[in-house]
Amino acid sequence: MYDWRFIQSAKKLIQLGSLLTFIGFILVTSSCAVGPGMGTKDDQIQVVSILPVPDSPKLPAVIKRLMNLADEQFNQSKTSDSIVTLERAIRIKPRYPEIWSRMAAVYAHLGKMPQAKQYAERSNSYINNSHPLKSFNDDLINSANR
Amino acid sequence: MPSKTRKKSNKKSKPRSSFKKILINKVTGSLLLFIFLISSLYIVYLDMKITDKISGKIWSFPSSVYARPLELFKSKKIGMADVIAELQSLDYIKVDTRPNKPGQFRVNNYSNIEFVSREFEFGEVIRSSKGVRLYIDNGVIKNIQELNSNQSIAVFRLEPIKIAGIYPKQKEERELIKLEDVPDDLILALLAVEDRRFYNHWGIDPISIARALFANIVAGKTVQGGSTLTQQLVKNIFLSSERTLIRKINEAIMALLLEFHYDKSVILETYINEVYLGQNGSNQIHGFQLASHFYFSKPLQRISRDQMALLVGIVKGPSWYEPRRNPSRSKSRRNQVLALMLEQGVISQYQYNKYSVAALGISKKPRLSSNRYPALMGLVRRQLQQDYNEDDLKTAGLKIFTSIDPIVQDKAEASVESMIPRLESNKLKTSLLQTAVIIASSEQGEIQALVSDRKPKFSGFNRSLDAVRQIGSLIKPAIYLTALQQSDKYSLASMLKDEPLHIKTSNDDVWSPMNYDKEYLGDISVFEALKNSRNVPTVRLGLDIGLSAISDSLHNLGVTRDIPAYPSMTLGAFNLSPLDVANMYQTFAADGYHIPLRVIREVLDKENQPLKRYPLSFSKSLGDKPVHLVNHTLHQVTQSGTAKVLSKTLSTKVAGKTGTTDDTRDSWFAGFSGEHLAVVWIGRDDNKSTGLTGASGALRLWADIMQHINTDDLSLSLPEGVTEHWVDMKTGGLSDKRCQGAVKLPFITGTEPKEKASCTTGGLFNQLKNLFN
Repeated sequence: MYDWRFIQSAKKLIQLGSLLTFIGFILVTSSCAVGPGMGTKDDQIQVVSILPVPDSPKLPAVIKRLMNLADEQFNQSKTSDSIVTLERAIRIKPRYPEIWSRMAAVYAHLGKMPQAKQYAERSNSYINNSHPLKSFNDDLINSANR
Repeated sequence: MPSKTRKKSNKKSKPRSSFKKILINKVTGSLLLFIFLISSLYIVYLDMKITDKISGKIWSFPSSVYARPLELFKSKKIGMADVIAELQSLDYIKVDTRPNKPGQFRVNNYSNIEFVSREFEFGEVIRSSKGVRLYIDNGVIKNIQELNSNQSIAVFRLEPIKIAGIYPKQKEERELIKLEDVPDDLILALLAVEDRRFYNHWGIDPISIARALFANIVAGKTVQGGSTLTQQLVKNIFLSSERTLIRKINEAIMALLLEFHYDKSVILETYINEVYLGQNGSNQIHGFQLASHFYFSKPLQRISRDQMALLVGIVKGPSWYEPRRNPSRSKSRRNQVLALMLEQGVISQYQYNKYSVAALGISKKPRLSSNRYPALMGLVRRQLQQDYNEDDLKTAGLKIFTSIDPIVQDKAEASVESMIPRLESNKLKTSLLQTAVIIASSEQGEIQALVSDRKPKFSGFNRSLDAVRQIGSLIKPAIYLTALQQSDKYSLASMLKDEPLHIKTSNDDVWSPMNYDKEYLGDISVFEALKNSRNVPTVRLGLDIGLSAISDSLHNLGVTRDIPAYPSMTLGAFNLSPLDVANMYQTFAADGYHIPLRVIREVLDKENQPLKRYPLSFSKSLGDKPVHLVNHTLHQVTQSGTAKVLSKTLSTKVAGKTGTTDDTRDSWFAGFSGEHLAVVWIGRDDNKSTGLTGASGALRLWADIMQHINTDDLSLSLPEGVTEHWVDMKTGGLSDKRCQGAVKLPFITGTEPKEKASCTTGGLFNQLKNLFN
């Protein structure tokens, strides 16, 4: 009699446990689906687009080559490799705003908006208001500020 | 009675003796059981020792520190001699014909160099071997081509030079090689000499032991060993080399256990990577792969059969047969091995005849670099210790990629070695001058070179990092920057008073700062006061803007030490290290972006997997406009100010500031071009007078370094919101460019002077001169 009651209560406990686990699972998955992380990612994707490497004769071949390589890596989702390649380009020719701007876009894609803003500002420091990159950089800075 | 007694005793002795027997049997049995148990436990212990070690981390791998990889691209400034030096540091071999193997280069008529690079695994990409032709003219790369197709290459990255290792106490070095990559001939030679029946025994070989025993008895001394490769491996990894019976028993048991657990190929591969083959200074050379680099400057796969025979011969006695010290002894040992290879059918008679007369082919200097740059390594270690424990650094085989530039470092060292004695002979008759030099990239804050002693290879007190000294006038740009940030109050044309000044200090003393020339110039512009490093107007300015504001600026510039808030701090009467100064001036060099100086770029683990990257990070806490005004003035310092000698000695456009402390104890110069920031300190360890000012000491060394490194002009493009105007320096009013004493200065828009100065044209001559300016 005692054993039977023990088994009954153990069964109830297991049922209760399963129910609680199920409820917990539902709560966790639903919070992930509507949580702030998801919304932030959408915002980031909106502001990021990788511009084509400019075909300007002013841009040295070495920088074009490295920017193209960084784009290939970016398109293959190797974003950290892409950053390494862009840093290589910065070491070689640090005063080309195109590289800093590209770096800003990659950081924005990664959701690292403070870094993205810094790189966009650095890019702006090498150009005047009429430069085609200015509005791209400003959009990034504004997104980061939001 | 006696018989009775005897009988009695006999009667009693029967059970007693059987009891004794039982007792003895029991004791013996227990003893045997105990011995058996202890032996079993001991064997289990040895077994655990083996499996733990072999399945875990067998060896300690020192970490390797690499210089920056040299980037080659069209328009890069680099001399042919620098490219050759880089290739030689990488152990490339100069050939007379067109290079066709990785690691070869050829120089054609000093404007064209061809090489075949080696494959190298960078963190983000594997760069395969490639044939490259470089055209260099007048110190500039004019073209880069692929060697076979003649197609242009936009950029090519050479593999980085290994500049140091971080070693465990034992200082073992090794390079691992997989068994499938080991040449078959080397394995055959090794087995022919060391263990012919390797594939036929279980760890110990009674036949070999009997043969060795017989040979030794016949010879009357030990002439042959009977140890198998497995026993040798056990001895090398687990045991000492002492000749005792216990050690021999342990060796035999462990060899059997090793063979029981592991395949022959695992044992052979472990042996090939473990065996001790020589000594490089205090570092032990382990394994055939590293030994091949050490003796022949080639990987194992590229050495000839006679060189393999030499390596196998060295196993018997790495010190006795050391080929650089004992070439004839090692040659005869090599030929013994070749004879055994012939006997075993590994080589033919023809090959034996050919190889046995061949030269040893030992490379002149060992490829392995010990610590080439001790002071730089001090910095690398300090930065690494923030993220890694010392034990991992010494044993985990990390690959540490740095920004160290051997070309810049070597030139900085050469300048120090030539200039310091010259400066001494001018002012001092002693050899007490010491120095510290730091060179970093202007825009990225990557340290490229660091010298901390007048003898740069000397590994002692690291002055660049640890010598904290008064900075003198190096503080001034921070004070003027603080003032120019208050743009409603100060511009470069604002006037200051260069007149006697007496300040009551907190302990009721009176401090009267003096100019270096002990004179007073009356009214002087902010621009002239900084350009000519006037002390008294600077103190007045500093007290006006506030000591705490200056302290804040210093922290924004990257100084992390506490700054004292007393008036004499405005003349740099507080201590900073050369590294602190470099951090501060780096912010000026990068147009107001503070980039903490760094030397490590990336760390990979033993399998080339990235562990940690140190990306470029920066912050902007200073406005680019006031920074531009200061940088403009610092450039003028090198044209007509305290460092005007640079306008004659240096063809590159630079900016910088001299610094001298009381009694000429410290001589400083901190300056930058478009590509490099460099800080130089000269002083004495006993803090006595050097007799050198910033201009007569540190500046001369700085100029010598900058003359020798390839560097770009300083860029002083006007930021948005800054305009230039001609100003009269006597009054600070707007002027015409033809007026005498007129200077063109940058102003933050809206802060330019409102008053016009009365113009004196300076006569016809000046007007004509200005027409051509």
